[in-house]
Amino acid sequence: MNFAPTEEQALLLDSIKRFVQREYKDGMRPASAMGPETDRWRTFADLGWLGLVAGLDGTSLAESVQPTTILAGELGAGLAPEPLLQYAILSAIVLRELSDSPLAQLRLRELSAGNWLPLLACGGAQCAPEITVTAEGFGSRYRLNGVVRRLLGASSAHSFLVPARLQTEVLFELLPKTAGVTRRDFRTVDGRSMSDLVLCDALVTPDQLISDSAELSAVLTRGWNHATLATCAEMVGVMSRALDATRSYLRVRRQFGRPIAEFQALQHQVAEMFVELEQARSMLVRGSTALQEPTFRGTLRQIHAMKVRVNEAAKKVGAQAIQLHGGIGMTEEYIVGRCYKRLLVDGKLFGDTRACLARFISE
Amino acid sequence: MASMLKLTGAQLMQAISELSVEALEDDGLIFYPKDCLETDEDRPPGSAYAAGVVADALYRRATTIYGGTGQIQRNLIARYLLEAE
Repeated sequence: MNFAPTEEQALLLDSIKRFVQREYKDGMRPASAMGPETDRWRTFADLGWLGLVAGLDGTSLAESVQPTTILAGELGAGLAPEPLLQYAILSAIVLRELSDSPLAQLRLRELSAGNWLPLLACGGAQCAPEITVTAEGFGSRYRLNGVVRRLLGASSAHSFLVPARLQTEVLFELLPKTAGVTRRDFRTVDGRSMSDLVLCDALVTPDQLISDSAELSAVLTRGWNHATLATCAEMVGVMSRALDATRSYLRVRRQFGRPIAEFQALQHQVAEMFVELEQARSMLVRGSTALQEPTFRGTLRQIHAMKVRVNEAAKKVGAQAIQLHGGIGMTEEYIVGRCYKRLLVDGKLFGDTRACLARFISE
Repeated sequence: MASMLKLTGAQLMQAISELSVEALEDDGLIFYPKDCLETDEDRPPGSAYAAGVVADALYRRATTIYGGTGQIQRNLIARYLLEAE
């Protein structure tokens, strides 16, 4: 297998790295605003990053896997707080795949241009897309009821893409200010913006029905798989950041009259961190292959296995990074603590180890 | 010996707090500011018992560092075992 990036990928990688270095020095605290009104989101749009999976230039979904993996990984290494993954990967793929819906295609174009933020409303911590909203006919409209938990970036959403159970599974577009819609905003452990969405007799009109396609479930799963892959890529990026910080520290810090990098116990521990990271990276490659090759069998199992392995590596690498830094690793200002928290949150998004393992076994 | 107690005690505290965070499932994603349980309005979602669990687990990363790191404890034990009779 040839892992060398193509010229296009190398250019993409380079431009993201430079952006991250400029914008996310030291994993600074997340800004409170992160939508199209911010400079960063506008830059994402101008650089084409919001349109990577949209395929408006004819690229297939399979072809978008490598670029999105690169983007997610580098933004992860920068501890970027913006919910680019939730909008420009997860929601974008769902919109893209509903090719028969003019509303979906309109929102996709607007999302890619950086002018609209439509967010898929499925529980953020589940290892598969869950439908927790019921819909029933109500006169000429539909009435929605249900709770959607742990939506990252929901406070910036211009609209929610809500899968609901009618007689079959359907997808509605719901505006946040609709009566009956309550959004409970809170911070995640790593300081990002997340919300629970509570729908209580929220009314939508027939032209807000995006799709009632029989393919909807498959489309949601496809989006979920790609988003899980991107999350794992992000986690590998965060782990790399933590490992790099650890390597630097070991070389620089002196104790007992020498750089602590000379102590064999620490050498072994950092070596083990590296081995864990590389195994996580390999599982990422395997997951990436599963989504690029149409003939790959057992895609779901592969995605779940990947999330399990990456989650486990993240626990070990994150913890060891703090441990090898000693007291400094515990300080708020230092990067490794932030890496640890990011990995903790990402470890639960799109399925924690226990849930993914249970699914893997049952498939 | 004190070193063994420090070594295994610290690891055990971490294992327990890690399991607690795992058991919280998606409540473990939420940041609970200090005193947030006092008022109802700003209370984040999730069970009441979830508040403080992740904060505890994060703090306990330090148990294997403070009072002599795990690495140092192992050195002390090894020195006791291996020094010349």
